[in-house]
Amino acid sequence: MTTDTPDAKKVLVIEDDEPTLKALRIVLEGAGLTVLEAANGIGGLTVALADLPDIILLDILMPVMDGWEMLRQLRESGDWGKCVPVVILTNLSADEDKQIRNIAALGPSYFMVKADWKAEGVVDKVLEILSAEKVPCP
Amino acid sequence: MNDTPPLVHGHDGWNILDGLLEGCMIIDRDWRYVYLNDAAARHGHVEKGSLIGHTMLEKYPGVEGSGIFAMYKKCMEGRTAGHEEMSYTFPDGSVEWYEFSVNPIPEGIFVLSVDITERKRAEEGARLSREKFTAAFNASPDLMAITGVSDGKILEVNESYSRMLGYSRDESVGKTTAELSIWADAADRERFVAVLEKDGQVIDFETMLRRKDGTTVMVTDSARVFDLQGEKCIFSTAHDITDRKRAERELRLFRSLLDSSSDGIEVMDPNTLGFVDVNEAECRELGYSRGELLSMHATDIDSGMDEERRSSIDAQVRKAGKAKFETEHRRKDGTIFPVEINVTLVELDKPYILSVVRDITERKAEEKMLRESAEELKKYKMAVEAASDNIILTDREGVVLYVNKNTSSLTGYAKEEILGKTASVWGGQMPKEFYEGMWKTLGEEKKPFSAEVVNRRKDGRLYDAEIHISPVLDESGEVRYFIGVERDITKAKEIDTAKSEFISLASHQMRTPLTAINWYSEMLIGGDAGELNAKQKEYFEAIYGASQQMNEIIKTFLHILRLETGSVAMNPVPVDLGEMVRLTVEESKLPIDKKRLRMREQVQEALPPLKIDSELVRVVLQNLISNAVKYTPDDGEVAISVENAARGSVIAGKTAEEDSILVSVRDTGIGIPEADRDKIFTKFFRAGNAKTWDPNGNGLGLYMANRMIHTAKGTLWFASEEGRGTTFYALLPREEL
Repeated sequence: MTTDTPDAKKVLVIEDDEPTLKALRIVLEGAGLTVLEAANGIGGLTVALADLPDIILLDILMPVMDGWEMLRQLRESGDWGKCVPVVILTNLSADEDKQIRNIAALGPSYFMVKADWKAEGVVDKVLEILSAEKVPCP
Repeated sequence: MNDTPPLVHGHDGWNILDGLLEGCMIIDRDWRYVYLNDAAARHGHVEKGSLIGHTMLEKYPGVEGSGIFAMYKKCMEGRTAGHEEMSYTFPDGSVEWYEFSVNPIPEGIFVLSVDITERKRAEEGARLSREKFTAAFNASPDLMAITGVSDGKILEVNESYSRMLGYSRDESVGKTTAELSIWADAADRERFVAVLEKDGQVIDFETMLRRKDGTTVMVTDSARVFDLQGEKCIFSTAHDITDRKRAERELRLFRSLLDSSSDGIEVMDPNTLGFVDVNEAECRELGYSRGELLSMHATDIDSGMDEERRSSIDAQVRKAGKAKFETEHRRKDGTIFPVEINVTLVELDKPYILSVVRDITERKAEEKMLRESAEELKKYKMAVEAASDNIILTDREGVVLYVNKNTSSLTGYAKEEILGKTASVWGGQMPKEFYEGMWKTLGEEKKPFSAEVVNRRKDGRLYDAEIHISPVLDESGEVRYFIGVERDITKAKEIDTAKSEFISLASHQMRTPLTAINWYSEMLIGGDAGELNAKQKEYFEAIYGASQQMNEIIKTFLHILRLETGSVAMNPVPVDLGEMVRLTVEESKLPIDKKRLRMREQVQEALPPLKIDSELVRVVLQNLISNAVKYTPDDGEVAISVENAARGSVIAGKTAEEDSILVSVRDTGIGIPEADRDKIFTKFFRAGNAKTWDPNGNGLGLYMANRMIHTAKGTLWFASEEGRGTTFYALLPREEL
């Protein structure tokens, strides 16, 4: 379900866990954002490149294509893909080797461990990033 | 009888002379026998009648040369009387002695003869006897001397005296032994004289005589008092016993030599093997007295030989004169011990067997030990050779002296390709600095070195290896060898990776439903699904709280799992400790307010920036602060301080080994009981009073904090007094920015 508010910012949520996705949509729409959805990396990449959302919330562990692979392809897809803010929203810990390497390589705007954040906190972080002055793209 | 002297009147008158013992004879101037009585005829060994009227020369041819004729002639011609003792040898060889008195008479001479043959013979005997005694006296090898009792002067000495003492006869006779200082020990002389006076004799008195040249001679002196021509004299003899003494000494020396020998010595009769002599060592060793052994046989003490072996040794001794063998001896107390025997056949007055017996218990034990240690060594070698790790022995330069089998199978290099070269044959894949550091530790600091490295097989494939190298030092502390153990951890690494991936996955899987519970509770409580009544709100808050708690537990478990699998990635970032302390205290606000605790936070101004893994610091602070809050009773105090600790500074008994930051958390809580202090950092351990205070703790907080600080190369310790409070100190090394 999407809202049709023309100047509403578009958030693409890529998340395979249905209850989590639904909760996110509720709180994000509650904050006046337009929510786009995808259940895995490939779907997410397709939607992203088609709809060019303002921000992407990306889970890592997903079937078919995981979040890191999707982000890599997104970053390689072109100028827009290189610069769109992506918040990693996962339950993997950021202090693991593999996550750290990917964080360094793919430059997500933020890394959030879902279980450590309130849903409200996630919304606040998204709004914070969207309202921030555009940083020059890497 | 024609010429009967005219002086004689009548034949019968002469007849009375026949009864005399003395011979009477008249010889006229023409040397004719005129008269002789019976005795004279006897003396002349003739018939009276056969001589009368005959001349002397006629009857005794050759008489002119005899002494008797000369005496007669002197009287006949010189007309002087003569008196002489003379012998005459008759034609039959017999010799007679006569005392002649010849007197001139007008007709010729008158001869009176007395037969003194017997007296002469007695006299001769006495003379001969005296000569014999003198010769014997002088020929005696023993010293002999005769001394007067009254004045002590030497009357006579023999030749041995002069020979033994160096004084001539003339130097000695007439002097006393004291004047000559013959007695080396004056006291000896006094004792000698005392015995002599008491008993009239002394036999074999051992003393020392002094020679003229001052040297001494050992003698046995014997003496006896006797009468010599009415005077009391002492006849003394002295026998030189220097040689005997020497022999005795040598014998004693030899005996003590035998007895002082630590080896047992036995002298045996070769036929019976009965002991003829044994030394003390042998008695001691066997526990028998010498007397007991001398009634025994070699076979009585031997317990290591059968008859066959004994005969074979016996044959060898008889053939070669000696033998050396090992057997066993039995002591008197029945114990048995091993011996080595050296046998020699000695020919003295008869053959003897001389055995030197050596107790070889110790040697046997050593041999056994050597055998065992050789065996042990073999085992070690087998173990090393068969080990599934690479085991490498090098000299101090790193030149390989030994590699086990596994080294060849892992690296693909044959032993011959490695020996004499360095381990860089299959190593050398790490940066130069790595090897420099390694040699510094091993060679300069002489400390063991451990690391994970990448090595290369002969076929070029790389593999992960864990290496442990230890220097082997000699007595002077210098490196002699290096022993290296290398383990292929390629597989372990793969397993490790798989494990951390599993942990990662598990964390995700467990947190996903939790996230849903969290968020939906949160939305319900926030009224997103319509206003809740008070009770509903309370219940949802309980669900939300429990879910939060669940998340914390999962996080704790994940931390521990990662710590223990070593998959914690330290991610040092500049951390504002002051801020972090404030945030952590904020998290405990609820219990702090409820218990009215006074919180003191003291963060040093201008603290040097600390670069550290922020998650680590967070976990540590959270555990220390929440513990302090939890275990401090109402109205207590918790003080947290963060300060700089320069290298070398001492904090509560510990020295900072490098520039560090010290975090201390002091409370006025229940304290840690003394008995529990050394276990307080143990996983799942909870102090007795802590369990009573709060039954819900999981016993992981301090364990984890300690592990994390350890991972950051820091130190965590505490000082505590039960019932008064505890202070925890965390010393965190500052990483260069």
